[in-house]
Amino acid sequence: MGPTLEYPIRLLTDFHPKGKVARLYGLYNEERGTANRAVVIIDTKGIVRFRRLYTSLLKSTVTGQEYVDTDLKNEDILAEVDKINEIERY
Amino acid sequence: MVEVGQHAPDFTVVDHNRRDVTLSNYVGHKNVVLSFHVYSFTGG
Repeated sequence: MGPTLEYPIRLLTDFHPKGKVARLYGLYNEERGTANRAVVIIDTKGIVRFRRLYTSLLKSTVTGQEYVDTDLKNEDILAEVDKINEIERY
Repeated sequence: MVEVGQHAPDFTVVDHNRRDVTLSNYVGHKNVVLSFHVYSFTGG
């Protein structure tokens, strides 16, 4: 097999069949032909424990108006995973 | 969208090194974070 790309996380492709996984998770956007932006956290039992759909907000700016996504920082995601691990300990 | 408390639908896809990734292989071992992101770094 050829050279591998060292990267801290696994980048997955939902290309063939297109949107297969996005559809399974109810995240496929038929209008755009893409997934919606979202985060899903699954615990060690295979149960969904957290989910967040990024919503686009219309925000007024000096140049007019633009859509921005609500912010979900990496720290927020890690905090949710920590919560799950804490519960698992008891 | 999937609901909290629901079983996460299983799937198999290919990663950036063309290796198969199956969600159910992580059950019993790891928590999994799925991040669906589109148009990354494209201004889209």
